[in-house]
Amino acid sequence: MTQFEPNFKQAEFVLKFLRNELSLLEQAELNQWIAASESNRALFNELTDQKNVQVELAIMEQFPSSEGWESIKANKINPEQLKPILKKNSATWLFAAAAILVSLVIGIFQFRENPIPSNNSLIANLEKAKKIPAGSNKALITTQDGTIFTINDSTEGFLSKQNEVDLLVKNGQVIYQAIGKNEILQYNTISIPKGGQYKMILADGTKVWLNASSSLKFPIAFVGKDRKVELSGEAYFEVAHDASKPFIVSLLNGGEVQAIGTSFNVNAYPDETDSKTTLIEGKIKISYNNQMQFLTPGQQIQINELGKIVPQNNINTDEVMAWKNGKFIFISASLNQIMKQIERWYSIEVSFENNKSVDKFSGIFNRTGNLSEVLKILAEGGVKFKLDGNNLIVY
Amino acid sequence: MNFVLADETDGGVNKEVEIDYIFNKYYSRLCYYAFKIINNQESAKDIVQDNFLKYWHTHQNFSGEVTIKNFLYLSVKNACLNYLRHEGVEKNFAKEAELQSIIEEEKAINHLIRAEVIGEIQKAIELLPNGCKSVIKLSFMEGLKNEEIALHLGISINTVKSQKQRALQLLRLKLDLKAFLLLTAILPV
Repeated sequence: MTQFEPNFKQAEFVLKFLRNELSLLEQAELNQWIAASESNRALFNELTDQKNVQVELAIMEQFPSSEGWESIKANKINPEQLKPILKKNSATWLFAAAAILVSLVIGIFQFRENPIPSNNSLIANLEKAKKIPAGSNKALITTQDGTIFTINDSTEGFLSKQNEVDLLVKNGQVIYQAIGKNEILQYNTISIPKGGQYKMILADGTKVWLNASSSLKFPIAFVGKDRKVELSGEAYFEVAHDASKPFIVSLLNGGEVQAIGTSFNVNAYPDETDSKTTLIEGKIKISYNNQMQFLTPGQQIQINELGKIVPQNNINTDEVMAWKNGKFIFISASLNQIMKQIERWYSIEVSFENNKSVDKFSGIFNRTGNLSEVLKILAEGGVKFKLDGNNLIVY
Repeated sequence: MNFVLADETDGGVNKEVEIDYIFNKYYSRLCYYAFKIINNQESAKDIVQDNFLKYWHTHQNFSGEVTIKNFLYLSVKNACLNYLRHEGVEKNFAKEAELQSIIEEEKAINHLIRAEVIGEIQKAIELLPNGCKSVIKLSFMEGLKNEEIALHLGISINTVKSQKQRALQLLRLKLDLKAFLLLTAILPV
């Protein structure tokens, strides 16, 4: 008997189970194998689970034999020696994943139970903070020829025509509209300053919400076989369906998020160590440095500073999407993580006077209020600070 | 698919057909297997291609599909474990890499079973006639709706529906009951 023969047999039994072809004897043997170890049982459950099978099939589809043969021919041998007759596989395809219902876990919001530093200095600081408003709709668009458009709440109407694409602002949205056939790939960049956010619709109908301190480089019309954009910072995408042109978001760290028609949030700020991509609906593929991972809704992928792709299950998507819905939601977040968001949205500079606290905070704030409203809640949680102009010093 | 591999004559034509058959059947699943162990797409392909060449150069010594399959899985596994050790040496954590390769070796058995089961399900879908195969694939892909599939393939919605039905009937023969339920559940008819 060859080495792996028992394992081939186990695989065959699992398949026969799926086909309902097991004899009584085989069923007994399969049961014995399942009962033999926890890992066998887990494997059996995994291979008979629909959602998992879909994901694994999608991974296997990444390695079509036609491509393998092409590569061997090109790099490794003289094909004349072998002349195998290979059929071309059809295009790579992905499996849609069934939606996972992520239960809402927003439950208890606990703050530290330190006494509130109710002294004059807090009141004075909060008074000052009232003058720092929340972020608002702001954006800068740079065209390929270097023209810059400044966009804010009062911008409305037609801005420019580049090739056969109109650029306009309507109801607080930047819109790129193809009015004829475009054949040249031409890029624009939208930059959102600190204290800003903006929504845009790309030429293919894809909707993008951009958070503060973020920028997106994109073709004004999607020419070619894919739709590739580059993101720095945070954005939420609702990709318009086009199975023939995958939508690809490239990140500064070299990661790529590929979607066909799906919605997801990418958080990839250059001043944070990890980039996080969270799938809300549909199916996406993340690739980075030859690693890849498929996401099902409610899953998140982090590319960490060690260059590894780390999948996270049971993500609270409300927390991830809070910024787009006008809120801050923190669940067991460090003061450092909270302050990074405050900094971007209120356009202030935050510094930590003492060693950064290791305490974790949870809570919901409205993003629309001024800085004072947020600081008040943080003060109740025991955070001490001093506001000096645009500089917030946390003790 | 029934295919007789143990052909004593070992003639030229049979050799080609055998190589073709083995490559088409095992390339994807071996790549998947290697990828599961080393978590690197490009290197996984590389390892599998190299080991296929090894099999081609020595294949006259084999008789029967199980022997060939065993050789391929074994040589790919060994190459993957070497890859993990080598990667460790390059990054100066040889000890950890050695440990890692031992852990991966234990997991490799499970990956092999995974590769075989998933590979067979994939084969069942691949064996569907072209028309309903592309409909099924598009409907899996991002859960394309009937209208979108019709648009994409340039066929009518009714044809999409009937091709889907046909695919389901054909798959029922190959993947009965639970697997049939499994496939119908992901196909919005």
